[in-house]
Amino acid sequence: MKKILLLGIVALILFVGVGVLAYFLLFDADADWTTRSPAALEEFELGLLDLRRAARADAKARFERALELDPEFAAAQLFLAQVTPHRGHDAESMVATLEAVDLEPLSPRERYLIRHWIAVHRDDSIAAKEVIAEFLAELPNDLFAREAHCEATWEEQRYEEASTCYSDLIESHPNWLQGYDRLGKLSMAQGHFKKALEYFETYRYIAPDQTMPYVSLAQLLILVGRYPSAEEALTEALAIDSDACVVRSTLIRLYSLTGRFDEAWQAIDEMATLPACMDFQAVGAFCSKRASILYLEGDFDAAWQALTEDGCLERLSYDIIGHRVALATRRFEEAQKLRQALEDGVARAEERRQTTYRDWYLAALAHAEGVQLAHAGEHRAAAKELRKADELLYYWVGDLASFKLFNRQTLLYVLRMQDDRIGAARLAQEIQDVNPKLVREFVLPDMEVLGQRHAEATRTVLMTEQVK
Amino acid sequence: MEIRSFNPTPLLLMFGLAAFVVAGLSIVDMLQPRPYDGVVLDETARKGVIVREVIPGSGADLAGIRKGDRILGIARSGVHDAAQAARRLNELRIGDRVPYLVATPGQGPVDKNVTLGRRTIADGTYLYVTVLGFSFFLVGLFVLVFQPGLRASQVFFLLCGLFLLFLVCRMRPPSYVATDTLILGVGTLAFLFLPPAFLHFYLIFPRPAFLEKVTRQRGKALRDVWHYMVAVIYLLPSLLFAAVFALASMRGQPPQLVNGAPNASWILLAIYMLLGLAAMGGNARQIRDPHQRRGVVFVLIGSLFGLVPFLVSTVMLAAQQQSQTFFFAGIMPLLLVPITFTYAIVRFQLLNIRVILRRGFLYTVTTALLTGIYAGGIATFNAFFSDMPFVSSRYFPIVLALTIALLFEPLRRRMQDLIDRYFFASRARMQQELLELGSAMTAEVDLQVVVHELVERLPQVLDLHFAALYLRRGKRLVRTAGPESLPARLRDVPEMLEGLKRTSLMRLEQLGELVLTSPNAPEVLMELDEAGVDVVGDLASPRRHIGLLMLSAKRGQTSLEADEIELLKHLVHQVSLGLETSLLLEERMQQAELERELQIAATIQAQLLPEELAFAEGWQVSAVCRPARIVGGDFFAQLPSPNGHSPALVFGDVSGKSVSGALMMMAAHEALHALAMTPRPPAELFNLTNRRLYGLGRHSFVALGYFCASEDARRLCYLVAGQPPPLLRRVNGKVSELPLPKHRIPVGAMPDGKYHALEIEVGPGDLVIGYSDGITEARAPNGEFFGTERLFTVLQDTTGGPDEVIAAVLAAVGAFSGDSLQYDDLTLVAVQRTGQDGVRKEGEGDEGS
Repeated sequence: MKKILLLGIVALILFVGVGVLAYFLLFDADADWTTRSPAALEEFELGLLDLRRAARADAKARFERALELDPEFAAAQLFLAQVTPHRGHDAESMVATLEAVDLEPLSPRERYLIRHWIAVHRDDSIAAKEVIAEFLAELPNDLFAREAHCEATWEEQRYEEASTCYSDLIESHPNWLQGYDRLGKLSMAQGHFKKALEYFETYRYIAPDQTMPYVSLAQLLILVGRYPSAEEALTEALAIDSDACVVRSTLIRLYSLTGRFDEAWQAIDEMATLPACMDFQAVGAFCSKRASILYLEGDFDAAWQALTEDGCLERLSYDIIGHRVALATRRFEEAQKLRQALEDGVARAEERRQTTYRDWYLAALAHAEGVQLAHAGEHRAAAKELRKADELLYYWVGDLASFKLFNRQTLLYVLRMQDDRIGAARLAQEIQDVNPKLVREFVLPDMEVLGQRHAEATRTVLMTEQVK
Repeated sequence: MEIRSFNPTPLLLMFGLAAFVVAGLSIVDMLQPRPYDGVVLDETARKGVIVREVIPGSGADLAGIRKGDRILGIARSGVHDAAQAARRLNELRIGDRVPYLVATPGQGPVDKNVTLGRRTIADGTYLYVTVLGFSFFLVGLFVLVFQPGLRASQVFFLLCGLFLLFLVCRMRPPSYVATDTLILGVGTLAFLFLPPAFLHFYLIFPRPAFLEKVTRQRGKALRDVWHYMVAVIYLLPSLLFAAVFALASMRGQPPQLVNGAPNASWILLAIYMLLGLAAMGGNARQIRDPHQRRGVVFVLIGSLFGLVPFLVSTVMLAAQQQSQTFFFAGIMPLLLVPITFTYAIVRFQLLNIRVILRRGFLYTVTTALLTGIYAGGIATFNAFFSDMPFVSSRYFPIVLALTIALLFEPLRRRMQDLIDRYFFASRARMQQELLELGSAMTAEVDLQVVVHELVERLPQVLDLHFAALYLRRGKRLVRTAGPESLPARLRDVPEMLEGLKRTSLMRLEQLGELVLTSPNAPEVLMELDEAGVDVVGDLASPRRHIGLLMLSAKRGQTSLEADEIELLKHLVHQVSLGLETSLLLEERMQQAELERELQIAATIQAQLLPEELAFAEGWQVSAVCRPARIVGGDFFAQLPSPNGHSPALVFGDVSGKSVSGALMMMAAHEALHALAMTPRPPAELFNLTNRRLYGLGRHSFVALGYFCASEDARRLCYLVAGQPPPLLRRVNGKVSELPLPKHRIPVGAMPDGKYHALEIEVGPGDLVIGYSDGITEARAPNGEFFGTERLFTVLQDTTGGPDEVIAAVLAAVGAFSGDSLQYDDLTLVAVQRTGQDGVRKEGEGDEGS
């Protein structure tokens, strides 16, 4: 009997082993979606692949087709909502639709994803975090759970953790494009520009037919002063999609930073005619860009006018240039209002526990305070505020990437006005390490004016003392 | 429930079949041509896909990929480790032009286009591992087939199957195709069950002597927990494996792996293996049989030298250095394990497996091996010296071929000498001893000594289990010497003997191939086969078949080779001569003894014949009895008178000759004398004698003749029972046959005699002779009978009394027979009435008359 028992145990182990093996071989964990229609499932999975490639339009079409095939396919509904921009009533309606979904028959993954999406769109970051924590606890190896977790760490600016999270994710899913984009940006944030270049190049290599990799790559190249390469990347992106607004927007910034204002104006005019760029118009991007160009050209009054046309400032959640232009044109009351708007933003972000937004607002506020103090001639205090802003800022993509350098450049002016030559030289070197061309070629017009005023004032004081 | 009836062998065979199929699948997978870029990746790199080498002229080389580069993407897919790179490559096709994203040190990533070539994944190391795995498997299968019921064999087969799967499926480079997961999964399962099977086997190999000793010391408790111990042994690695991964999952960190398995599992494997070796060492100490112990120690040493490097390099160094640099160095000596097992099984008959290895087979294998070594040597030489100028010389191939030719043969011979030394160690000694044995037997005349040499010394010389001798006794073959397991008597199978007569020595299996029509044949062959007979020799001399020599198979690893068979044939001839001589001598001695005894019998028989004969007054009498052999069946005797006047004369001829005839003659003689003691008429005497002799039940009879004279001595009373009719020669010389009674069958032939006597008037001078058929049936050299007519003639031509007549008849018969041997006993009785009453005549006869 004992022998039979022994053999039985061994056979059972073998059987279980083979069973487990067969399970992993025969059942794909990614296929854990609830639908009665195999065709809908196939469309949906193709849509996910498109989404991974950042081909949102293709993905949207797939998800719509999947929903046509199975109107009760909740996951298709969810991902369709993710790829469709919703505002106002549409957004409310979509949230309501997903809230009405019966979660009971769905898979755990679907339940968590829907709950998370609803929480995010309800601006309930606490609930969203809790959902992710539950999701990850129940399905620690699920791609979507891990992705949500990485996104959470990213948004909370836990950059090292986020880097590890995304690295793990792309190691197991090497063609997950968002991971490369995120890792590139995280590397930029931490000042690892070579690494960032590698990620963005890989991103571009995997998805050479998409515009976003080129944009991310161009933003990095702009940051590090490799302007021709950046322009080349953006040109390639335009060749892929000439209507891509983000490409044109980045191109405008490149022109502005390199003093090619005529091309910048031409580009912004072209962009304004594109129907696809109406979203940019809606968020005040055009007026902001025009103001930036005018600011860099040194026409502060025109810049202020551009910012105040059509209620542009009201549409911008924050605008550093607007504040500086206000100070440069001695509109101190308006400048104060803009700083107040930034303080409100800090409070709002804290209320929502959005640490990333909070830090951005805090950095913008510190920068604004620093500039304001610089205008008041309190250079030491200004330098302190600007350093505070520097600590809060990262070399992030887009305008924010430039913002850190922009802030440092401002600090450099302040240090020079403060006559802190050593500090200025050290800072100039630091800026040059990131972008060698910036110190030599880029000029902040308002700081130039302030510097001149300071120099004149200093000369007047010296002359008065000499007369005395 | 009868637990012992459960036989796991079919299950094991199914497992073996499955293992064979999966291993085959793995090999096929490894041999598939696959796309290859020409990049050798640094497998030890923790992160990234680092180029260790680039094959010159490959697609990667032409695309400008260099050593130290980092591959970030292949065919528009990101790659982060060597596995992903290989997997991506597998998705492509040979000949594809594929974009690579490569980061060169000091520069940013660059796109490079690589044209894919072809290769197979299986490299030299994997092929070696495959050979190793199948070596294990074949040894295991061999053992199971030979000893399917033995627990150690069953566990050994399981162990070998797991070794096959472990080596072929687990120790293979991944191919990243659909079957890869299955094969690697099976390999992992094998890895989990290999250590327990190993320990289990070494605990019970060749028998659980160490455990038995411990059990004796610790008592029943240990015996009771043994099965649970085995269960724990088998379950522990799986549980540990699962626990390591569970713990790692809880910690959120991947477990530390070596060759894809946790360190802890490898360490457990090492512990199990060391424990197993220790257990086998313990078993070896407990084994009493030195032959078996040597075998176990041999396996132990082979296992130590095979497993310790494996454990050191594949487990310890790999775990310590997190690299597989010494993988091959560790795996290579593992081949010692199956080799030593095979050698030990063959050489020392471990697990009671008897293997027949033919020397020719070993020589062939050695030659093939040597050829392979030379081929490998040439390939290595070419690989290393292909760039040297002398290699391109036109004389180089000639010099190389000559060198090989010169070196090959001596080395081959040396290898064969080694085989002879290790597998056929006692060969030369055996040949010499066989020759000496043959000579000794030829000279030997003592049968017992010959038999002893055959059944005692021959097995020692040839290292046989036994030798047996069957000698022919009449129509039967009787076991004269040999083990009791052989049948005591062999039934006759003429075709078998005919077949043997042609070659004098045959294997039993060859005998089975003969066309045997005899109904006994299958049974006889089966009996011999079951008794372990391997070779049958025919013992025969030119004049007769002597018997059969039965030889078992050899004790050890070798079979009887062709030259040994030839030697044995020669020996069989010599044995036949020796046996023939011995048998002849024995027979001669027996015959001499018999003759001596016959001589005594003849003397006794002769003494039975009366020295003097008397008949009635006025009658002369003479008689002679000449036996054809030493003793005979004829006789004559004087009986007391039937009527109280004159004695009677009786003469007889017994059916049968020699001893049997003599014995019957004695019986008839004594019966007649005893019955004649009481005076009674001749007919009554014959009837009583008839009853007496018939009662002996030997179906022998006696032809009798009886003469007596009437009271007045003028008539002759006579009675004839089976004898020829007496002849009467009247005084005028006329010869006639006496009338015969109606009933005259020989005495003792029938239950009732019904004899009656006749009387005839005999005048003075008339002579009557009675005779046995030996007279008339005496043969001339040309086969002609003497016959009655010649007897008539002799009687007519002879004058004189009984003596003269008898002498004349004997002379005539002698002259007629010439040199021919006397075929039958000769008896003559003659009576003549002289006319004078009371005439007495001394009886005559030669040779005891």
